[in-house]
Amino acid sequence: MVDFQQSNSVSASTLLHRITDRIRRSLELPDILNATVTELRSLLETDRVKIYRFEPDGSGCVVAESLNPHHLPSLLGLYFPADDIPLAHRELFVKARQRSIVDIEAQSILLSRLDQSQTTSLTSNQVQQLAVEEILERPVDSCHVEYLTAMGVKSSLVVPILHQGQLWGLLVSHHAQSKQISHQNLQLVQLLADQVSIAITQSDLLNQTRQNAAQQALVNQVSSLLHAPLQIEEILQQVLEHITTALQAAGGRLYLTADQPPAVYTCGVQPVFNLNFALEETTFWQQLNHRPSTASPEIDWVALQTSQPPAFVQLCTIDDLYQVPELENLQQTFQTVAIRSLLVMPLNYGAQQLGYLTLFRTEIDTDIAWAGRFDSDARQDRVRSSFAMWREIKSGQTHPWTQQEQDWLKALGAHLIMAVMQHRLYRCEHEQRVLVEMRNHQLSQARRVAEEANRLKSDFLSSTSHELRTPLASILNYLKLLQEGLYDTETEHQEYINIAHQSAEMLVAILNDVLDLARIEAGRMPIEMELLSIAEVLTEAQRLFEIDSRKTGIALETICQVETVWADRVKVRQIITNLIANAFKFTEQGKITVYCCQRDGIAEITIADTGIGIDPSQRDHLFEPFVQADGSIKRRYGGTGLGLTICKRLVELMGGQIWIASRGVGHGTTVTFTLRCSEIPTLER
Amino acid sequence: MTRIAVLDDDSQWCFAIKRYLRDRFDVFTFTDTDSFLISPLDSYDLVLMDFSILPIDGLELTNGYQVLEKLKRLPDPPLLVLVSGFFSQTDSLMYNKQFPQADAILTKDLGLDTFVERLQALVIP
Repeated sequence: MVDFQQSNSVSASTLLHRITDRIRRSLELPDILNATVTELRSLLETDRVKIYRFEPDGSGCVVAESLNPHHLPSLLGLYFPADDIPLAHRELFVKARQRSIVDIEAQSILLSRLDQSQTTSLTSNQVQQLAVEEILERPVDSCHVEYLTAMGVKSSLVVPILHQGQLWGLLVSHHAQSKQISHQNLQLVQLLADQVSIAITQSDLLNQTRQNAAQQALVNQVSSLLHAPLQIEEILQQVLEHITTALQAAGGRLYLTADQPPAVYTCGVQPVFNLNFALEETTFWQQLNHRPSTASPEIDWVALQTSQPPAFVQLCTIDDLYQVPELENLQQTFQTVAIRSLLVMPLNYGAQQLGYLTLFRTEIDTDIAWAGRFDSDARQDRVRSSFAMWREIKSGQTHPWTQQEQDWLKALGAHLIMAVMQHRLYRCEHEQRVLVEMRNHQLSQARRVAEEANRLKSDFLSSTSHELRTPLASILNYLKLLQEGLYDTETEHQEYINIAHQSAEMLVAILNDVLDLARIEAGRMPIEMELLSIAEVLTEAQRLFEIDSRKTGIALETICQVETVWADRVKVRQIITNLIANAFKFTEQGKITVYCCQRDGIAEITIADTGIGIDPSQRDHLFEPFVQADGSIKRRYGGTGLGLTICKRLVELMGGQIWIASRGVGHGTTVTFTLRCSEIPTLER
Repeated sequence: MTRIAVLDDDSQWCFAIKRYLRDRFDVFTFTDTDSFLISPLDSYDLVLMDFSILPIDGLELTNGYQVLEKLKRLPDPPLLVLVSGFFSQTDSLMYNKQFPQADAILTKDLGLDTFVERLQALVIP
């Protein structure tokens, strides 16, 4: 007996050493639990050692098991209903730290209490010092016997595993035959349970650290995205997708009222909403900006004051929206796409409402492997006869939002709010800046236009005075020569008279043109629009220039494919006469063609000559007053220098356009102007 | 006799001046700047230079005053008179500052009598 005890003590010591070593080496709870059950079964030499973990609802699952499969079936991974270990028993495990040793053949149960409240800090010496009186032996309940018998168990040892003062699970040994559990072994199992408790604490810390790291990584990832050098629309879409994925949501929406109209970013599953406004504009969302005092209990409302005072993060989570009366009107919207859970985060910055972040979860199917088929109605009366696996498959279940997920979203929410707010401020600032720049540009442009108008006016006055004084001086000079009789011959005398006369005519022509131009500029040129036959006008023009054509030998051809134009007859005649006269003036040989065609309801009248052409660099200035291609042309060909300017103004008065084309000096010139073919509708006019 | 050169692209002006002055001056008229510049410039006592001139190929001269400035740089320049129809008798004085290299500014609306009087005042101080 002594030898056995010594041997047992050595084994216990070795076992303890191995388990603590395992706990030290690994922080992975499944590894530790598996090692525990393996080592313990080899020590106790029983058919099954398992670790049973409680769920928050009192049910539980076998999370680790070491088994002799020839004697007992495996229970690993199977769930047991909460009533298998009633609440009163579970409380005894915590309050009295009760351990139980059941011997079916002896129909006895040994209940051992561990009064010390700080069990996890007990040393092995302290445990050994427990009084024998603390072990209580009594007959086992018949239903307990029945339960264990149905499981094929004749000997059972159950030791609670506590974690942070709560019942975490049970360390259980089962044997298919009767087996004595020594007090020493009981102490050993208790020590192991305490070690497992330490391991759970460490593992919890590890998991917590991992979760914190993952949360921080996600926050960093989203934070980096929010400050990425991308378009804000692209950033927000990516952020929404990140959050939706990270929170295992089926779909997400980001609704921002900062934009007009409000911007909606979506990803994944969306409710089928056929109305002309956004989901977020419905009463439920609108009321979320103020925590409703009468909200349904199904709505879980949490708020977090962030480190940045203006941003106030609130979350509203709903696990089963079909239980929320406030969403009754929208149920059909969600039902179509099987959305069952909602998470809404109103985005507020101080008193400013920026929008909402909404995540959806669709309903899920659950598959639980129970240890034996249980019937909620009958199980209280009778222990089930089999513990063989029974799968319970449920569809349309909720997928609740965990506290950890809510914590993640709260951390992200503050960043999102700040980013949206920053973007809003940036955009306001940018819009203001653009507005100021636009106004500056308009002012600058107006100043340039005014300066240019002033310059043109000054140039015009200067040019006009020069153009008037030149023929005037000529008249005065030649009259003086005539007056003084300063001519040698009669021919010379006649020439002086002709020059004076021509100069007077030129003076009149210039005066008339200048006055015409002044009237047009002042808006006092009368225009009498009518539908007129352009063919008639061209025929008149051809008749008018017949003599010029004969004298110069330059053919004048007219081709008219347009019946009528909407114009002032006198002005059209003036323009065509002026342009044909110009063509004759600058053409020494070849021909002049006047061509009228229609394009999209617009008549194009083109006067093309084979004359001296135009240097392309001069083309754009030819419609300015007193500009001819160069001064030599004016002296050589005469003219007031106002013809094209007046033509342009008259064409524009009638709603048309005019332009000059030339392939260069020596290659002829083409002047084209446009007129409407039909009357302008009143509204357009 | 005093030699006067007239550079003006208006041939009628050139002819009238030449005809009116021929009894009192030797008058040489040019309607293009090229011809004028290759004439014996140092032989003239006075040059009547119109402000509007024909452009000269290869030279960046766009008005008569620029030609006048060139002539001013001759070793013994003639009297240089700027003539123009751009300004009138009343405002010619204000242009004196604008064209400081010109010895005088005469306008085309003076009439031939006054014009000759002004020229005589210049050549016979």
